[in-house]
Amino acid sequence: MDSLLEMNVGEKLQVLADAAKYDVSCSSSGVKRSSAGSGIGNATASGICHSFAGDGRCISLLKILMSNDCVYDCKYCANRVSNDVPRATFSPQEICDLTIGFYRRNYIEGLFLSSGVVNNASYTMELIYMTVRLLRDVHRFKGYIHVKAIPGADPLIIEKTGFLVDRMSCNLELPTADSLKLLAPNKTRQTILKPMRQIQNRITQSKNELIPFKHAPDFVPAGQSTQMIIGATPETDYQIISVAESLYNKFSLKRVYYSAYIPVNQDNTLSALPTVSALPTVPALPQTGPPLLREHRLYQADWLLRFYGFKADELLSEKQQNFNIFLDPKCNWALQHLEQFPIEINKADYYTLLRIPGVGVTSAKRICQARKFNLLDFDDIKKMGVVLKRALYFITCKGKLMYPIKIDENYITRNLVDPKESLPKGISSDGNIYKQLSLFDDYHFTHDNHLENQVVI
Amino acid sequence: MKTRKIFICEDSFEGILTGVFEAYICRYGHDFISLELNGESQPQFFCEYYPVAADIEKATKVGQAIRNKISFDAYEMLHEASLANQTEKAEAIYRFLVLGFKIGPQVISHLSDPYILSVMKLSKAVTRELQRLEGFVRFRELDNGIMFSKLAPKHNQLVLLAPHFADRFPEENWMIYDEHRKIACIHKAGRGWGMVSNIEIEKELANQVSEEEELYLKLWKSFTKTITIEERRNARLQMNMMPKMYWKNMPEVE
Repeated sequence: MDSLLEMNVGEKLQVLADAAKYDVSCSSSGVKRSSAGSGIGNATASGICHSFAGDGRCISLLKILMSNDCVYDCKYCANRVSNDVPRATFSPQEICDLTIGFYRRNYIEGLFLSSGVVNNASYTMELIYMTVRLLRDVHRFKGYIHVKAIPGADPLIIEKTGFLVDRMSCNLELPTADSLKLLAPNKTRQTILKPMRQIQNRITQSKNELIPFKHAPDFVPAGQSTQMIIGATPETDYQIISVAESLYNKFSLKRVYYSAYIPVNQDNTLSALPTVSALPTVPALPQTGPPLLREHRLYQADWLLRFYGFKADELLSEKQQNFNIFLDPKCNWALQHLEQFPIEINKADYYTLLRIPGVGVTSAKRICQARKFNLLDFDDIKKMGVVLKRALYFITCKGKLMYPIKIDENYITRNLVDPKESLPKGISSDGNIYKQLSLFDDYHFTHDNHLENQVVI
Repeated sequence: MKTRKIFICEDSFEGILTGVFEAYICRYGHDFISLELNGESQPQFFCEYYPVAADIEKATKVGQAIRNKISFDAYEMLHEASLANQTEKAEAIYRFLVLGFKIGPQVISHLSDPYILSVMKLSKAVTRELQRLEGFVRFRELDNGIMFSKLAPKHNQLVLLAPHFADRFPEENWMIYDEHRKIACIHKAGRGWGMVSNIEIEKELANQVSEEEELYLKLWKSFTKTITIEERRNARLQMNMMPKMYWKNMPEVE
């Protein structure tokens, strides 16, 4: 009997981990907590990755669904009610045993619990609450817990859950309300944004309570995150990062995750997969596999929004709606603002340094520290971690450029495009991106003229 | 010209600090002194070699001086650097301290000085591996209930790993064994942890796992396999994030 039960847990784990794998969020960061000598578990501020799956994504949390027995019929989802897939539901006790068993062996950093909608949203949320409660109170688990707030659930249950978990997230699913209506008929933008706003307000309230009351309970201390599916609907990159920016500003989210759409269902509404063509001169890309490069560019832009002080409409605009697939968003921005370069490393302030391609948060901080003592040269900043391969076109040290180079868009672009960066199949990066070189333009022609004149004289 | 004096210190934080102590106390001039690690040095002409035995009292004095005259951050950084698997660390730490005792706490940001930079890089290399190991350590439950883990890290990490796991599993009996350095860190439930050196673990003893162990191992392997999205398979990325040198002690990627 016992062995039969164990078999069941194994099979359930397979079904429910498989169903949860498209959820991107894996971070275990944002909260520092000690076990204080009892129970099991702690949490570190930076989070810990415990393993990496065959796709290179980190495995930090035991990422499972409570149940994939969903009553909704979202077009993009493998677990929609109209699909014929094996269904399973964990009991709260099973989830606790798995979590503790894995945690003791240092396999995982904690639990990530999502769920399909069983019966209705409130019932599902209650199941999640019961599980988390059991884990925290009975098993005295002090590790990281991330749960989904199920849109449409009773706000009271969401609030009660919030006091037990470290992070809550509520997936936006698709960047615009129209797409959502098209692909997820049971969800509306309103029902998704409502719990998000509720969590945000409660977090602020909880922080304010901490000022007068030292031991006020912490509400979702690691903040909330969300996720958008990229490439299932025809939104442009500009629309997507504008949405992300407003989520950061208006809902004070910790993270927005982007998930390259992987077709798990055949459906006519999804057949209109947009082909990404970032530049007019680039032929339409053949759609092979999930749009991973696009996802990568969006993450790069996301970092620029959060850590580099960029605004969404600096990176893209109505005119240029998608990211350049050859260049990262920062290089792309720098090339369009060459008038602001070159920047003197020894004088520019921190935020200006951050705008230089090849200079990151760490190296900018190191530069600011080190230049208090002596003037920095190219060798010094290279040792501090500046990627000179990209930065050299945009900086001066002690008033000098590294090489005598032209500050010219085409010239720099040709040199910047990294041949090693993996580009989608069907595109070669042999340099001629912005403009085809021809015999009759550029400086060669005028230079020859000049020579002729000299000869004549 | 003066002949160069070279102090040969033991490969430990105390050993190097004792070396620094001797280098200061002999008042020979910092320009004519260097520090080298025991067994790592190539003998040179026109040098005098002085072996220095680690002395806790002398090392503590230097340690206190670092915390008082430079800063606690610097002390931590030097400690981390001293655990690195690199032969020139003793000299780098010595030069760091020479400058540090001269100019005080701001020495830490003097990154254009090669020795300061190398101490910083060493400490970064150690903490970076430490962060990885906090995730990559795998315990297995032996049939006597002890959680056992075997490691082969590049740098000497156990002293830094122990506090993390002591906080994480305060009610467990656990043990982490460094098979390269033959040292182990042992934690007793509710009683804190300690280090043991020069020990050999019998393979058979470490392989007598509990009944539950097989089950959880199987579940864990199936979980890591299931969570992979086949359409995104990227072995290179996986290897970058989780270098192969750690794989042999991680059951899910065997």
